[in-house]
Amino acid sequence: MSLNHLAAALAAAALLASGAVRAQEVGVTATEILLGEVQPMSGPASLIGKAGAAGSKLAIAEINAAGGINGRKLRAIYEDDGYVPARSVSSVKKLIDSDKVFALTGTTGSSHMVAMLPTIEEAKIPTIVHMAPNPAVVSPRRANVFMIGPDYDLAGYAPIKYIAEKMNQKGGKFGILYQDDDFGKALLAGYQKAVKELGLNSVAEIAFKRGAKDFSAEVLTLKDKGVSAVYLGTLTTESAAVMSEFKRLDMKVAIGTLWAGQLPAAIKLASPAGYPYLIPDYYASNYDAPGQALMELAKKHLSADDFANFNRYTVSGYVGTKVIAEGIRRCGATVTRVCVIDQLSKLSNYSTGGLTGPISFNNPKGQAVLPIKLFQTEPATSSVKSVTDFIAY
Amino acid sequence: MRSRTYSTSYERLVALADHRAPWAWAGFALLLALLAPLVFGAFGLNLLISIFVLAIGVLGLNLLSGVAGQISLGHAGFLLIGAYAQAIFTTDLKLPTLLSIALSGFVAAAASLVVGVPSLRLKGLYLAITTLAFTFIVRHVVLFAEKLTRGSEGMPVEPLVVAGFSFKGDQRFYYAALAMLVLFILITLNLMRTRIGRAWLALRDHDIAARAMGIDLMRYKLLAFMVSAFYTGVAGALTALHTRFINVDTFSVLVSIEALAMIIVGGMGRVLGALLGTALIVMLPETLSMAFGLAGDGVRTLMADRIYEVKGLMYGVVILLFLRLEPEGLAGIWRKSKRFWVQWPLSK
Repeated sequence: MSLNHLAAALAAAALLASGAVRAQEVGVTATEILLGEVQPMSGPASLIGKAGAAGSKLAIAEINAAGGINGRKLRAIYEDDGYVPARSVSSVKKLIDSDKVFALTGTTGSSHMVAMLPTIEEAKIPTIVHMAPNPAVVSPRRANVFMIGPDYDLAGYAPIKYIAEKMNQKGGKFGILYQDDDFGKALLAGYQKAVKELGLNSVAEIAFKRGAKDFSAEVLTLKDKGVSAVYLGTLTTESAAVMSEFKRLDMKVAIGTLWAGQLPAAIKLASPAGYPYLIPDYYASNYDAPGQALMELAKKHLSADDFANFNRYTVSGYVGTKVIAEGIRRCGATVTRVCVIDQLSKLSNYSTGGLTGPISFNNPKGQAVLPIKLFQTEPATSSVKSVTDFIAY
Repeated sequence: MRSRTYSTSYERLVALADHRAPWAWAGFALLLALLAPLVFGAFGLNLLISIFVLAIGVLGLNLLSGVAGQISLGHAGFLLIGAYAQAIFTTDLKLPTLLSIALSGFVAAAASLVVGVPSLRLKGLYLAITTLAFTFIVRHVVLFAEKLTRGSEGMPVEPLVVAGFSFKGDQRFYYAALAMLVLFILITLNLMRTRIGRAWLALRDHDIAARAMGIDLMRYKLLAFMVSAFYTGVAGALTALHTRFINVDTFSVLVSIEALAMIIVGGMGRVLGALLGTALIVMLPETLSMAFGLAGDGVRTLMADRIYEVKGLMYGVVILLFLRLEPEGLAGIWRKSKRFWVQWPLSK
């Protein structure tokens, strides 16, 4: 080879190499892909954030133990927002701008995600929302944002349908306690849909303010109306407070609530009242077979601290990370944000091994509207059993 | 050698700065601030914006607690009022955003009378508890006044637009926040050298003596609350314009405690102290993260989910250290350092 040919070959190689460097996507190296999560890991919602982060750590450990994705290992940075929207915005900016993550797999609470949306949209970063399926996130559709979870109204619909049809309450008197905001109103809409469809007798629809601690007046109203089945659109401590009032007034009621009701802390708080309540969920529980299989995996891969945080949000974090990993895997060796977004938007019937129903984003909203499974608590043992399989409503 | 002790004319006594050096330092700091967007990315600018915006509120608290001696744990409430007023004025009433900032300050100032009036009869711990209760009341009012505030859902906020120019985006908003901070620093420095500022100082040092000297306690105490709340209301409005979404979770009681920590750490009663204290406390979690990072990956991973809990502990530790070792705060350290170099080699 002449000197001229050698020089030309070297120049071509240099050009190719510089082209390759230019093509390198943010957060992607030859050996690693960097993910980011904003989670409430301190403050009142820390049991949600720590569990979500543990799920993500579990998925990453599992994927890396199997050799990574097309030769690249996954790594994640977790930012604590303390469940304060202003801090969520600051945290997501840090992840995108300073840490230079490739994708986001943890997006904290619902209003927090709304606050972060402009930054996420502007950065065109692939984002999986798996913890708080707020309809505002996908309406209007954002090309780079994908949401896992059904609309909240199904959480109100499914338990009422089950109570009426399977617990011999078709002729009973129904009531609902709901938080007086968009979230509560969505639950109310689901409850009303079930009442209308099944021709039930609804005698009380009572709103309460967020942050309420004393429900004695509301429960007394429910008793006066003679309700025999009630839907509680309440969160952990509120549900326990309402059930304690039911017990004090010696009420015999069938109870349905929403997914937060299956958090171990919520079950422990509500158990002394002795009511076996129904919980709808689109994720497996740590009390059923797929959830327990995941717990076994968690024992192997997580630290004792992280394992202690295991709950439904761990399943949520695990599924969210597995889904983004699937998008990355489908892009092969050339991992770019554009490619991953494109692959995720084509995702159809992705199986999570029984942890959820099949996940599809190939719809106008980019939302995986998942089927719902119903669980029921057993107060005597402070545990939960599944009473249905995943059902699409 | 400059002694900096004697001022020989009334003009020198009330001058904004008694020498050229502070102007030179201020000019240098402003130049650095103007060039910052060339160096920092979105995250760095976001932190600087947070410092600038919070510093305006802390300047207000400093006037009330550091200068006029009236303790307040209610500034989270004023911040919340300012933020919601901004959101309502711009998003719902479609008022011009710049006008809304001023109006938000006035709404917070009007609300301050709720705690300002009781302050005429209350002091110390009793006043602190009254102002603390104010924050809780305001949070509940916002949650219950759903038609106005959208309750717990929170409110979107329109971006800042001045004469058709939009300050949307971190870089543009950075300059808006910087301009507002400079404006409020100048207002504060001027206010402190007026009759009002000196009356507040007299009120802080001995209220009975101040009354004996002819200072109307009721007027000046109320004025201190209103001016302080105006500053904080403006800071709230700017917070809303910065995050573009607000809900009550952003304005917890901890914000009031953080603000007090800022003026204690910075140096009570001093403008420079308010600025340095704000910067230190806002940077505390980032500094801790960096320190944990230097300690190795293991420590960083362990502390990643405990940063705000550690931050809470650090507030206490930092305040205790400053109260014990340097009660004049960062501004005191700065003043002593300057004196050391000015008087060297005779400095102690």
